[in-house]
Amino acid sequence: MIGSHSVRHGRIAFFALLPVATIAMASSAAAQDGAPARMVTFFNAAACPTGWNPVSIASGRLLLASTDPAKVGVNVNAPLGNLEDRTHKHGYSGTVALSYKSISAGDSCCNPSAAHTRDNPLSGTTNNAPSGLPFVQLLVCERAASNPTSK
Amino acid sequence: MSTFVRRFAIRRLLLPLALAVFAPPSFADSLPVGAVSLFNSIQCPTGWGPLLSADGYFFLPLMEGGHNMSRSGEALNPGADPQHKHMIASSISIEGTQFVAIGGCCNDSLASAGTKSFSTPADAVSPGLPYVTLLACTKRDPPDTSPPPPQHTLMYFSTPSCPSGWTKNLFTQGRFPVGLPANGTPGLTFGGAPLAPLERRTHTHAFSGEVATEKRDVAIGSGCCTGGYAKNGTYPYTGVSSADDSGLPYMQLLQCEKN
Repeated sequence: MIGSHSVRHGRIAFFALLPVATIAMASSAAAQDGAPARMVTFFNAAACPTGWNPVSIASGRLLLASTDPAKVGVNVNAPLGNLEDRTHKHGYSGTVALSYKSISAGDSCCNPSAAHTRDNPLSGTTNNAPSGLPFVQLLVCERAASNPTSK
Repeated sequence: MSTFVRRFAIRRLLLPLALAVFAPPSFADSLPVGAVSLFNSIQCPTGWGPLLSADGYFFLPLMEGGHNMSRSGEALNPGADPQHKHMIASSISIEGTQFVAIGGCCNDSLASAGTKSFSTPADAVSPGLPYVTLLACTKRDPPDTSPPPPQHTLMYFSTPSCPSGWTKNLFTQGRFPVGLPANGTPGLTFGGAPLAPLERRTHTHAFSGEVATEKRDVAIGSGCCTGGYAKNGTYPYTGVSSADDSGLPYMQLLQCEKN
């Protein structure tokens, strides 16, 4: 029992608790703020503060909020590069209708100069364009899990 | 070392330390009630609760004139890639040709000349914007006396104004925050102008192409003076698509910086 009158027990307790005390002091040094563990937030700074780590999965990505624990970490698309305004394009297909104009002549050889009345197919791809959305790139850090408020 | 000193060390130093380490942590933190944040965790910390109204929304730093926590767009199911499409509308100008025949009944197989318009929906695609999903929580319990978050922390708040010790952030207002890319410079803005409150920012795409008509043989010579028939050929078109937004839903939230 801790607090025994026995010197031997006192030594055992001291050496048993020494590593714990060391860890506790180290944690205290790292946890220099009152933010909860695993908090992910932006900083108006160039480097994460002590006790916070860069979030690699958030690099070049927007952050989507969810309340479904099963969705945490789900991500889509390749990360953005530095100041990259991601572009995209659309394919399309359709027809353009050519209405008829009657003529008193038969369909046969040999004047090919006229166009047939029909729905003429067309298809293509638009030019690339960005979304037009405004962005700001910010340092994003995660509070280390060593914080006592870890879940 | 005397027995007394050992007892003192054990009772006054090591015992409280052991209790502090092994006892359940207080779970409190120094963030004020109304703080909103994301967590790389499957549950909100004690003292925090899920922010249900934020489910499926990106946080957008509140712009001037906007209402805090108001939302724009349909919530996104995490993992889904929001899609949008545009209308493609333009026209081709069909050159005319003449025949020596008499116009009128009864061969209707030739096309007429003139301007021919068309309209068709473009394929639905994603704008390709990358995101990662994190747990949205809001602070419900009062703060404790632990040290405040680090200086320059950017935090969202559901409160009408920034708490004491925090200052409203201006340069991020109306812009989607992106995690700093590798080798990126923090704090730089890009893309469009900041959004107005609840604005659905749209974009367009230029397009161009050609339409090839199909020839139709007729048993008549070309020449004066029955005209208005479409000349077989290839006709160009150009245009700009209709405007549409990229489908990113967002919640406007007051963002403050720790002094």
